Amino acid sequence: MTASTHGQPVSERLSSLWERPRVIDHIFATVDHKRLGVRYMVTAFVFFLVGGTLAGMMRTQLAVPENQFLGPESYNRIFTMHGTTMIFYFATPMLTGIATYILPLMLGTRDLAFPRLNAFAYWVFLFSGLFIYTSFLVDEVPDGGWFAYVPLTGPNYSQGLGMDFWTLAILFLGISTTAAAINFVVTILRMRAPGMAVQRMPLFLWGVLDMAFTILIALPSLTLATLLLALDRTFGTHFYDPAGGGNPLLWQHLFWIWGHPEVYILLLPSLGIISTVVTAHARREVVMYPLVAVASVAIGILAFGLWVHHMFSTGLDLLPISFFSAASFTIAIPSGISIFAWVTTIYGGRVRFSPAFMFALGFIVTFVIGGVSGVMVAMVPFDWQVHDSYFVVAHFHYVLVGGVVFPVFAGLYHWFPKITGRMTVPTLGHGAFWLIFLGFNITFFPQHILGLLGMPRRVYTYAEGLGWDTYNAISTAGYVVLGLGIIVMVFDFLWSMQRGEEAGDDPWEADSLEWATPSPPEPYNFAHLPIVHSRTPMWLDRTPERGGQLDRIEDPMDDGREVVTTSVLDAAPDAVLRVPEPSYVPLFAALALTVAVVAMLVEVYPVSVAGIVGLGALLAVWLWRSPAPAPERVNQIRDRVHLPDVRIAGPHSLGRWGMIFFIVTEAVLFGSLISSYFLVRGSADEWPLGGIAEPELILPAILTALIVLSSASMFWAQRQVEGSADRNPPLGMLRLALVVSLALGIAFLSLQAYEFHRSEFGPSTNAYGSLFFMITGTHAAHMGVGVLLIGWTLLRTWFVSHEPGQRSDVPNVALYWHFVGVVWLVILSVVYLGVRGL
Amino acid sequence: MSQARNPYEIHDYPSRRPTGVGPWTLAFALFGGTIAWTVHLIAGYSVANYMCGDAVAVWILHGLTVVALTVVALAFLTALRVVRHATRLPKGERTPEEDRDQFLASGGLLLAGLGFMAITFGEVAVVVAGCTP
Repeated sequence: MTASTHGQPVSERLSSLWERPRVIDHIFATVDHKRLGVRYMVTAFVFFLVGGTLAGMMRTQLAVPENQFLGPESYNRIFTMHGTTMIFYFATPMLTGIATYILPLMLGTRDLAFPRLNAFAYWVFLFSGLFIYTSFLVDEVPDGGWFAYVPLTGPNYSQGLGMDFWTLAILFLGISTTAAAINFVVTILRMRAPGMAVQRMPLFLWGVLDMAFTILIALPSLTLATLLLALDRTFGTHFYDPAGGGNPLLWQHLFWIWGHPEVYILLLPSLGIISTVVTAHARREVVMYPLVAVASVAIGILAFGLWVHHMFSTGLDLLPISFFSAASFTIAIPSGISIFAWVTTIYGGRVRFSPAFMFALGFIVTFVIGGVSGVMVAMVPFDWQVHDSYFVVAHFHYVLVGGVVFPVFAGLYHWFPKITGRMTVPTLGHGAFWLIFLGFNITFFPQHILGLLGMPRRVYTYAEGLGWDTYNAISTAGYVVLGLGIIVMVFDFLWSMQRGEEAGDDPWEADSLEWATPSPPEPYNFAHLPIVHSRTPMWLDRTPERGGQLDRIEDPMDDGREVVTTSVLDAAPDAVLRVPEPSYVPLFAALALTVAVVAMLVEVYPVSVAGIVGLGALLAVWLWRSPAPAPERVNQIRDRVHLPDVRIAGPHSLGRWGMIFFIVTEAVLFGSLISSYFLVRGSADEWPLGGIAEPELILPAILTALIVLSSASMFWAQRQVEGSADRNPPLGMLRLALVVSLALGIAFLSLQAYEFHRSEFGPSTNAYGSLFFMITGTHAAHMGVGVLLIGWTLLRTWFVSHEPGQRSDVPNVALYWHFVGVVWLVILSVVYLGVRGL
Repeated sequence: MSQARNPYEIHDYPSRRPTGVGPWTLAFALFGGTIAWTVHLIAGYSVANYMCGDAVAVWILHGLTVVALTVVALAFLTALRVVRHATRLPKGERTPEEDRDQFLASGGLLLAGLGFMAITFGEVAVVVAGCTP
């Protein structure tokens, strides 16, 4: 047993650092990625069972013609909640859970980059799910479909709280998803094991990285869409209301700019799981690794050029939609590359036909069918024929069940021994696979035919004698078989968890680093962090020269909860950082947010404001004290790894990277907002609408001067900190710069409030008013957050250590402030100058 | 303290032989084709949606295609050059950075190829469907 420098065995020392003894801490304060990963997976699986039960109700209703099991209202609610649950509360969180658990292990590190953010994201996901399901308790269930098309879901056609539950839940959940995505991106880019350069990254990591980037760029569009819908419904704005100059197609654009990439958000990590399973169980590295890795990136990029293919039948002209048809064909190529690579790998491998591998095979079959029908609907004339028919239902279930659920099950079977320390029962696993595979195909293949026979989707019943009866009956029978398969799988997992054969560290003799840990892994994952020399370290790195062991950092890094960060491309070590301790703050912050959301639903706005203030206060506590910097370790890791920089501030800090990706997603939000402005303006006969005068320019000019000056003073503050890397910053100058920025920011907000106050039109006057106030108001809200951050930073200069390396907050806040300034310049040119044709 | 090994040897980076490929060149090789396709898609969609009927619109669309395909070709050639440069030595003699450059530039070849296809498909639509209101 290796001895720690602290006079006790390394494992004991690390356990004491990485695990709290109290059970209550494990439950409510944990930030351990493994505990949170399991929670994500279990919670998402419960939602899967609920969503599956709802599907069973739909299939029961449709089993025979003119059935009265469900009425039309109930059916609308059930199919809305089925889709919402499966997409938002099962698929994305389940993949997030798998990634949360596996990522640090596969990367060869000890936790995610932002452990507390990880805990916060989980709690928000859980509370959001509970929130939307309380709609059943108050009989106000969403009923506008998981796609929530306007005007059906607008204030005129959707009374009651149902769609308010939906919009608020989706907004609420978006916070969790964004937080998880930022965490994944920063972790993968900055916390890979030394030597795990980009060309050596496991394909699962590529999939998760692509997924996270896609979320950051796609999700703001959905956030904006639902926010605008909530405002239309609650405050009488006119974003989607044609009578007020709005444009209902704006919803479809915003929704599908997120909605189509969402398919790939789910698919990309799933492809990564398949690559992992195929590699381990065919006992051969996936052939054409570079092409498969880049194909994953290409799919993520091309996904953004497909959204209009959901809108072929909305009346858009032929040429514009042809561009998207072209992109829809093109995306088949990288998908095909991956399929051929797996098939070739399997063909030349020594296959172990485990349940995990069987689910991977099932994926390949079903995904190819879903892909082919996808290319069919990419053809505009064909799409016109089958749009809104059961053909489309069959297509997307082949893509989403085949492309996501099968890989998830493959992953669960593959990693079950690692997570629980026990093996599943192969007979049960194979039984579950065949029942699920056959049940799935019996359920959904006939729906292709139903669609071609003209059965529309989203109908609660159908007349006898249309030729649909038999196919619907078969489809319902298939559901029963599929359900039996799920029951067998759940039984297998529950039984094996208690009584399964002990797994050992590496039962599959797999290639990646998670199998170098005990099963289940210790709280600290690795006693000595590994160093990587190849793409398959468990196969190629454990050479006789290394005694059959992985290369590793000899120093156990046990002065605190320490991890190594590495460079983005080459994974060269560049710092030792300390990650935060367990904390109750993420839970309380999520609860405060829940209070705010519930109060918004029932329109008790003072309570909502109180919830947001509480959230802000908790975030201030959260960020108040960063973990102490790791002690100077230059050349101290037993002369093996040279770490030239051990600061927690500056470009090496994870916080800086987190802020950069947060700004990326914020920039996309503003970009979507500005694009919405142009779309509504493009469909208007006059602009501004309704004879509203063009905005005056004197006040905006003053506002611009204020924001430019405040940005300059923040730059000055930044210089005080960054110019003093090896000494304490001049606090007087720093405080002065921050005070100036604060004052200018407050002046900006006051003047803008004055501009709003004296305005002759309001957000509910017409679509121009709605957009004007939405754009400037959103920016003002960001300014408000910026002002609070500057105030908070200023306060910290009196209370928190001034040692070099402790001040990552100033450059981060400055970065945010500069971003808000740049956004203002865009708004000035579009909303104030652009309206005059300048 | 053992001095037997260069501390950099453990993680292989950075090696002492520079690759001769700058970061911007590598970035263009990797993403040039994608950026060209993105701009072509958004600009083409906007022109087709809002300007068709104007006689000049179709020529703008053709012009967009020419510019986009030129950028794609440049990205492809740059990627090809990087791959050749990175693989000029036999596999066992290459530095990790050269492996990295080869990997990223190979990705650029694929992305440029996909960009070429998508842009060309779009241009075919312009030729076949025309740009009439």
